[in-house]
This record gives sequence, C-alpha cells and structure tokens, in this order.
Amino acid sequence: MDDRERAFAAFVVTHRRRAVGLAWRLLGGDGAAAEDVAQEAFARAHRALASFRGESSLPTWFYRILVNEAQRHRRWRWVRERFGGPMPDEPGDPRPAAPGDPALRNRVAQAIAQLPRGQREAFVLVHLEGLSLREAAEATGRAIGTIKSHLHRALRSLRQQLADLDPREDTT
Amino acid sequence: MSQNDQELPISADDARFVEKLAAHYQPLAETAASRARFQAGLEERIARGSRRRPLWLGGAVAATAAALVLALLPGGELTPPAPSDAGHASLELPSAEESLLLLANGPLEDPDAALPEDYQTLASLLE
Repeated sequence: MDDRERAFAAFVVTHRRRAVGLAWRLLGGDGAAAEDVAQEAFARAHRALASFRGESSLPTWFYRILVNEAQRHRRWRWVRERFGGPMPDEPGDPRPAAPGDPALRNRVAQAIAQLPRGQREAFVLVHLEGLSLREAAEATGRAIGTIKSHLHRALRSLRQQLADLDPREDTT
Repeated sequence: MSQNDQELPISADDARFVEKLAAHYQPLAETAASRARFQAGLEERIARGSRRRPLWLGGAVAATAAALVLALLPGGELTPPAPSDAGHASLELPSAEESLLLLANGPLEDPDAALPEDYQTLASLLE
C-alpha cells in the first residue's frame, strides 16, 4: 500500500460514520441506501483523487461528491418507482431500526424529503450536520446567500409541517 | 468541520426546534459488523472501478492514435462534419488536452458510470 492509499484509507476511517449519517439524513432515513451512497462516494473520490486541486478542503470536496451521489440515488429511486413498479424480490434491510419513535422519525424524514432539493441539502448540511454556511455552500456549489435563503424557507416549511414538535407548543 | 455561529443568524426558538427535530432523526450507531461490511463493500467497488479502467484507457489511447494518424495523413486535417452528415455529428475526437486529462484522471464527466445497472437499463429504454 503506497502513501496515497494509506492516506485515503485513513480518510475513510475518519469520515465513514459522518458520511453514512449525512447520506442517511439526505435519503430519508434509508440505512441500506445511505451505506450504498456513501460507499459509492468514497469510491468516486478514490478514482478522482488525482484531480483534487485543493481549491476547497478535502472533506468539503468529498461531501460535494456525496451530496451529488445522494441526489443521483434519489433520481434513480424516482425513476425505478415510476417506471419499474414495485420490487417484490428485493430483500428487506437487515439492519436494525434506528433508535427513537419510528413513527415520529418517519414524519421528520418525510417532511425533510418533501423539501425542494436546495432547501433539503442546506438544512441537513447546516442544521443537522453542523457545517458552516461556507462549507455548505462549497459542498452544494451554491452561493452563501442562496444557502441562507434555503435555510430560512426550509425552517419555515418544517415548522409548519411539524408544528407539534414546535417548542412553543410545549409551554401551553 | 465546525459550525460558525456568527455566520448563521437563528433565533433561540428556531434553534430549539432544530435541536428537537435532530433528536428524532438520528441514524443508527455504527457497529463493528457494519464497519466491516462497509469496508468490504468499498474495497469491492474500488477494485471493480480499477478493473474498468483499462477499458476507457484503451479507448482513449485508440482515439488519440486515430487523431494523430488522421492529422499526419497528407491533406488529412480534421474538418467538422458536413451539415448533412448529422448521423455522425456525435463522433467527436478528443482534443490533445482532453486526451491527456483523460489518461491522467479518468473520464472528465461520466455520471452514468456509477448508476446501478437496472437504472441504466431503464434509462436506455426511455431514450
């Protein structure tokens, strides 16, 4: 294993958990799809490593690949659902369910999934993954002002859809 | 990666809502088994990608060689296809720079290469 391969292996170890988590949130809590997307993003990053020019940090560059891969997966899933019909032969996800109330988690997942792409990506990257506005802008290829606008709209929309989660409701 | 709070104006009320929402939308914690499964899958994908590499590499070398042969032939300057030759309009040879980049870094943009096979089949049916 040469230095480049060793560095890449270390990068995977450092970022694997976060990459799968980010994909999971972008894909509505689908564990199998998140793993698939994160693996494909790492594989693409490995193939494209020679073209990395250091214009952004390596993690930000990787998260851009991951965000694009998640969107590609969403498109593929949409096409498959629309034109391929149900897939009865697919095995179920062998992973145990994520912790917490599954009904509530599904509602949150659906509310986030229904956001337009830009709002969904901005909300997940900034509010759920803790990226800065600049990092989110680089990871999505959008301007910081656009990210701010998406965040504002996403928050307004989610508060409407998930009004029962609103902390103001707790005080009544 | 760090959150720069000064960049992000968010009210305390919104922050509490986000916190609550995030608490209900947590992925499963990683286990040793899931780590091993992920690593095995990734290594398989990387190996599969490097097996594919000679295919496009061979294509790029052949295209570059063809371009050189055409350019070196007497009167063999590359000319754009005639307007009536629409059926061959998509057969463009890569420039020298594109060929070099291709040889160095792989395809510049090959978004469909990573798509699952059943999607590619569906996509080809829709075209």
